[in-house]
Amino acid sequence: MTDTTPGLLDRYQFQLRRLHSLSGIVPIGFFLLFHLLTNSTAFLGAERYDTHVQQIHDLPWLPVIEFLFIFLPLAFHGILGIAIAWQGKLNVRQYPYMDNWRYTLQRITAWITLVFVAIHLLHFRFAYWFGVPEYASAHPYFFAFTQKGFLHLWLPAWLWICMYVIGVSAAAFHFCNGIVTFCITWGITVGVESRKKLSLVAGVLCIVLMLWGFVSLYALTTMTRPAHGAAEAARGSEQRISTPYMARHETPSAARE
Amino acid sequence: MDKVIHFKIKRQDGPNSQPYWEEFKMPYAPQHNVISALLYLREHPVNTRGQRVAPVAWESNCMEEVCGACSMLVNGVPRQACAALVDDLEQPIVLEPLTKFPIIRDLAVDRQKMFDALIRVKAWVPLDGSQDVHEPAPRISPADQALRYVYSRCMTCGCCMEACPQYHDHSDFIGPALFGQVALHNSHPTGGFFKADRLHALMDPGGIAGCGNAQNCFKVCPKDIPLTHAIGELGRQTTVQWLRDLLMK
Amino acid sequence: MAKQRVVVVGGGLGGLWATLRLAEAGHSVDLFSMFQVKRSHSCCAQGGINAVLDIKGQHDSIEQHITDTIKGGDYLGDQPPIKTMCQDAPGLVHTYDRMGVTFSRTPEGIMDQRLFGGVKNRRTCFAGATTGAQLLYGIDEQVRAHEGGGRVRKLEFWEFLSLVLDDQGVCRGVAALNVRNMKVETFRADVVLLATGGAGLIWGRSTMSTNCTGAAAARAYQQGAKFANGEFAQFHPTAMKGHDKLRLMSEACRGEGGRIWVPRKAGDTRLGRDIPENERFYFLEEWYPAYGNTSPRDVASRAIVRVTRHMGLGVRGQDIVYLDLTHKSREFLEARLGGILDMYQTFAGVDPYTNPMEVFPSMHYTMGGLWVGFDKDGQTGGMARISPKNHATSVPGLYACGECDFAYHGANRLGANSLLSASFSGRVAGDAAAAYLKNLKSGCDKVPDSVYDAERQRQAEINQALLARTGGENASTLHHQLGELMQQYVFVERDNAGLDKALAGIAELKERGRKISLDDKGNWSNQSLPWARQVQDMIVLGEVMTKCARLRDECRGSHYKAEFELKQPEGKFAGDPEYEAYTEKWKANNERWLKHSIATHTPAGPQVEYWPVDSSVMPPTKPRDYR
Repeated sequence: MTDTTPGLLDRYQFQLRRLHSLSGIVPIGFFLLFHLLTNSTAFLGAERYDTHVQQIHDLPWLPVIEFLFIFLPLAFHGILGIAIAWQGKLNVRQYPYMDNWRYTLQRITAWITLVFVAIHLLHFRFAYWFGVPEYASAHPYFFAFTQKGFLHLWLPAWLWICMYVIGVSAAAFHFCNGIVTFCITWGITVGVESRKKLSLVAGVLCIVLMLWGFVSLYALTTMTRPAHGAAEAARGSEQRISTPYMARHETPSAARE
Repeated sequence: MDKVIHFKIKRQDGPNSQPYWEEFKMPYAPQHNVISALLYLREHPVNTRGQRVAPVAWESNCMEEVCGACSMLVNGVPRQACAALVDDLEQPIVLEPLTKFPIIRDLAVDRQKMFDALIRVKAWVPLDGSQDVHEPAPRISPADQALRYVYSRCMTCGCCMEACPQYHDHSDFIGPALFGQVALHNSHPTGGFFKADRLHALMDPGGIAGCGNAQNCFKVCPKDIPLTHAIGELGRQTTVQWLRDLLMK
Repeated sequence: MAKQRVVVVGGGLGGLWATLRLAEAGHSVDLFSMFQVKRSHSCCAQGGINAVLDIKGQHDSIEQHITDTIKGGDYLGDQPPIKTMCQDAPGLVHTYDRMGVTFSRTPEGIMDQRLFGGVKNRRTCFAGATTGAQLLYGIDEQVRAHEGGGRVRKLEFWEFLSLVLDDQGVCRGVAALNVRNMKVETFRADVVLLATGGAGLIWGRSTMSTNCTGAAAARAYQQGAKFANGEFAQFHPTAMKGHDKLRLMSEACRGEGGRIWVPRKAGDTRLGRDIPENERFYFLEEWYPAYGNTSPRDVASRAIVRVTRHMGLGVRGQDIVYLDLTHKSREFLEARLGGILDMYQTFAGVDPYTNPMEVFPSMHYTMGGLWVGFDKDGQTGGMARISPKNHATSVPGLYACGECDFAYHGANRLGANSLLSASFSGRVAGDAAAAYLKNLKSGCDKVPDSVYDAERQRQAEINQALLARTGGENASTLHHQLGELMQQYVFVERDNAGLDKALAGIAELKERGRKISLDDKGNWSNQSLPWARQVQDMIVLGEVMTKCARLRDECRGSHYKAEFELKQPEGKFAGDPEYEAYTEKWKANNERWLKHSIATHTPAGPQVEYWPVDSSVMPPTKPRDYR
């Protein structure tokens, strides 16, 4: 692990590992919960979804918040995580204990989540790099815009859905198991029994999060219940997506018309 | 020979030699363990091809699973070979040296780095001297004693190190055995005076941050030492120590 | 004088204590061990360590501990050192406590004490059932602190081969074999301490670790150190059977209430647990009502041999008796004896919580060992605590401590006194060596290189000759045959005809020992080479032990010859004329035999002479009586 940046990683190994563990919970874990919450409003209707997304977009200092509390921690957790993942020599075939499986899966899901987050960001947040209109430009028809992203952008819809099912599952596992390891690392659960109980809670939480994510995915990819103005918006966004060379600054005004 | 005990042993003539497999068969007798069988083979070192070869090298001493010398992989499991009863094992019995330590010869490995690490974490209760000071240590509750006792059964045998996915040639991780020892000495009424020294050693590179929570250490420990408990406890202690260092200096 | 160096050979309790004391005194210590010192045989001691703390309202006293130790040893121990050892025992266990040893506790958090054999009071401190390991780890950690500080250099995986003696016969260092690269090297030292443990492997199988060959003591003996009381070996009454080792079932099992019995009916085929109470013969309780199951080891071992071999009542007609704890609750047993009972379960495959354990006496401890002196303190009648005479062998500059010396235990060791004597003697020997260094006129730096080169050369040539020889004897085979002789003739019961046979057999083995050839001719981590040398040395020491046994025509402690037994008149006690007559005979016998047998090496075999015992603390006026 010391091959790349020996001095820093070595000297502050303890502090960095603690922050790594912490960053997985706060803010990344909290963000994950919040993100799942917002997404799942899609199940309550496109309008509800649009409203909540709009609320987020209305936050002051949004780019700063996004950078400090999402991108920076994600980058930190991801890059350090890569270094950490290289340290382990997986041996679950020789020692097929449940905890060792979880250790192994934590690393496997780390890689999956890492790739998934990258795809997810490119898919929606940074798709404009590839000429797709910015997400914010979809205002106020975020639902329709998102659905388009799944159904009519770059890849067949089934492939997107598969990727998201795997990605959401991996992220949910990684987060929930991370809660358990967080509690060991920081010394919150010490005894074997307390750890077992926490693992049980984390297991239930993992299933809840997965289902929660699937619900959003289901809503965003299959629900066609037209909300107010949805059809119109759908048309609009379809048009925008199909005109990739349109200048970016023009899209918001077009959408607002 | 009617009933036999069949061994398949991974041998290596020296640290830099190539490993090779050699098989041995010996007459069966009840209640043999792996070491008593190796002792037989020392007297009759004839492999299954009928060649008389150099006897297998290994380490053993107490023969009752308290000294920690005879750790090896018996049918893939790290354990004390003296307590591995032939009658309980599937044959051929496969013996391999531990993989996480440099090989000396055949089944004997060099576990010095574990002992060096004990110095690093200051795993002792500092005394003013071994003279009688006409007083015992402060009282210790039976419950505290019970936990300290299980930690203090560590034989430095290396089984936990062998099973730990974080402990290997290319990692600086100190290994799970040490946590039990630090927890042991931190929990002593006067050993605890020097808690911060040991915690700082664990907060150094290769210390507790290297643990990946695979928890294999606890599963393979021949003495059932609750190493994961120690790791949790020291996680807590290092957290407090870190905050102390940050806020109270 | 150049900086003084010390060599300590052996890293069990004795060696580590000596090392610690010397390091604390500011000396640089080279600590030699054939393996990592943490694996030393001290870790096998299970039961506990004796020290009078008198916490059980029994009005236990140090005087009683002294008396028990002297009488337990059948008066053969020099008494001043015993007195001081017992006096220092409480301070010693408190020091262990300060080191962090995990002694078992009372509900109030003080060190608990349990009952052990040969005594009536609860005097034994213990740490679960792994007391030896816990004490070893405690002292090992202290030495490790000094290792970290640079005072102590551990030379692990080095085997002691011989002493380097200057032209005055003063010990000036050691020659040792690096058992990895097989090179012999010599090490200069101003003083050398041997703490190399017992010699159980001479009996083939014993309760001892596989490295307890006694070879180091045998090597010192062959270079002129006198070997004392070789005939006294303790046979522990309760050990499991095994191919490789006879695993000890601690005396603590009896101390915690374990009962020894055999079926009343010879050849009873039922399982032990199925035999009803009234068909069980609790022979120790019947024969020795005062001490019952906690009778001293020699008494218990002989009773077991009597009931099995002479009365034919052994379990299934074999050399087996039951050690029964099944009447105790599982919780109690787990807390007090968990470690040992788990071991029984592991190695016998039978649950000792519900089945009586099958045991038989086994070679366990060598009371005899290298002769060491002591400095008597004229005022206290004990041993002067710091004196270069303490634990000095007959070779100047060579000290010995722990089981490889002969002190403290006389003709029979009391249970839980071995951890005490190993620790105490190590401490005293360390202080004695430091005192010797203080008085030393001329250090090893003045000894010419040629002395060291010659010894290295001599040892290397022995190794070369062994490696070169082909088609000779197998070392392990000779070891088995030595063990068979010792098990048969130099066991719990001895007779002169048998001992003569043993001596003849040993003479033959000695001859064959010179023809050993090795299966491994390599020069890297060749385990056959040191083993072959150890076997030769075991034969030498076996001869000393057998010869001394042959010459001692009496019964004393662990040494028993039926022919010379002074029978205690049955049902008669002090005051009865018959008993008084017996006492007179006993005193007359003491006149003749209450002496240390001292063996000196000669090319023709051991020369044995008899040296007086210092009985100044408690002169022998009354025979032992455990009824």
